[in-house]
Amino acid sequence: MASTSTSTLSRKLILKSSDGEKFEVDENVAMQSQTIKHMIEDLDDINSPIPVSIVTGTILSKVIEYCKKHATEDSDSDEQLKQWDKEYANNMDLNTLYYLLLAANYMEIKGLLELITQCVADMIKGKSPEEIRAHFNIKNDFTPQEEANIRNENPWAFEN
Amino acid sequence: MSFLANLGEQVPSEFLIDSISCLPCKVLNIILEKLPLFDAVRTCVLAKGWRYKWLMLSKLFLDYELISDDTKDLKWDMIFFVTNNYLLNHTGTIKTFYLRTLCWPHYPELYQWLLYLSKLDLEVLLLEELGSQPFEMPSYMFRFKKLRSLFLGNCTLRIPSTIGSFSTLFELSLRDVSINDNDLHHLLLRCPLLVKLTLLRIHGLDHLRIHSPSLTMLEIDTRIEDVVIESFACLVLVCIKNSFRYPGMVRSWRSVICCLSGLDSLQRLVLYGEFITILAADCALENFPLRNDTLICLSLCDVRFETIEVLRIEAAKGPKRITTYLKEWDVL
Repeated sequence: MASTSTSTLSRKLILKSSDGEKFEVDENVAMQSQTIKHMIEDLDDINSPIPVSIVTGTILSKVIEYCKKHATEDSDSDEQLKQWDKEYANNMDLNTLYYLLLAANYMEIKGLLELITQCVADMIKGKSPEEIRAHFNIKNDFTPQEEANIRNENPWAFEN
Repeated sequence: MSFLANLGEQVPSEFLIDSISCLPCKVLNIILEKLPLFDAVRTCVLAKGWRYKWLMLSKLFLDYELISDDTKDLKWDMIFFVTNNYLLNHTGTIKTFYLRTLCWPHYPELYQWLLYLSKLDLEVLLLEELGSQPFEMPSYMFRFKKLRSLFLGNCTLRIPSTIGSFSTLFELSLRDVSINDNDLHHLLLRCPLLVKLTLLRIHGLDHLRIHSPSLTMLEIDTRIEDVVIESFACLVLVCIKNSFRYPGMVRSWRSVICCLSGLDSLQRLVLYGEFITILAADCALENFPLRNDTLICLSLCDVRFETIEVLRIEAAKGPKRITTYLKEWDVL
């Protein structure tokens, strides 16, 4: 179990990952995901586990960590929350970021999607195509001639 | 779905090679939109799959001042090239077109882009000429049917008498724009849903008449001689700025302060030095005190110390917060 909460007001939900791991979370934490929000609106019995079958337990625990932080309206100022977001994103490797992006998109968690896309954009910003390829392991499948042609089509974009 | 079911599992490194390229279009688009345009364009050379990805961008942001190249002609060439390339080859829908540039003497190109854009479902349009020669907003501007925000800088506006309206527009911002009283009045009448209006350094405008029932935010400057707010039930924020170019003009601002004190839902009032000087000289705030008990914040900015000794403001409950740079002030 990844979550226990002292809140007595909020109902508990059980989320089940693709590899069968179960997470008990407060309803307001799970509701950060629009997808889950819509799912439980249609559910009669919220006591049975809700399958989140597109993510593994490892990724789902990361997603829940984000949602828990953003569900509580406690003493954290905007500044502190931003700092937390930054550290949260910086602690992920590329592989995890990739799956988090897919999960945030699928589960419709807007804040998380914003955070991770910004993080990836910052990795691309200011880098040369060669550096971007190396960073993200992108295989260049252009022939040297094809690549030269594209660069010549947009000379202003490749000057520096 | 079988692919998705494996998310987060250990995968062979071979599969990871294309991980960012494989992201759903929507996610990749969000990433590209967060990049400066030229960074986004440069991704076209990463790999075949990336060739046309930047052309799916729904927003085009081009700012002449953010292009690092220092020659004027080359900068225009870049803007010309990237805009043409984008408009000709884009594969998605274009929602936002943002162009701040030194365009003159290339206005024919600009008008052609506008004509093309007017046939799309554009939602946000920003055009600003950075040179001294204003462009003329073409008469087909009313063809933008889905426009929600319109920002124009340094242009001339003539409102055609033919039928046309911005039925979805909620934000209008004009800066350094030439438009006469009647044309502006007719323009505003054709924006029935307008929520936010900014009018700064408007040439040719003497008497501003506002009849916009849903307007909540108004920003103007003291270049305008007279303001009549005919329908002001919703106004929450009013800001009256300086207009340094035309100081010392006589204006009928008494009616403005009457209007302000009659605003039922005003929460924030931001006044600048020139207007405060006029008010203080006229004892306007004493004679027509602000009685808005909805006022939360009153900001007095850029006040010229030498012209005012005491500014008296009366408010029924008093704003909760007052920011001011006055020597002396009192609130009754």
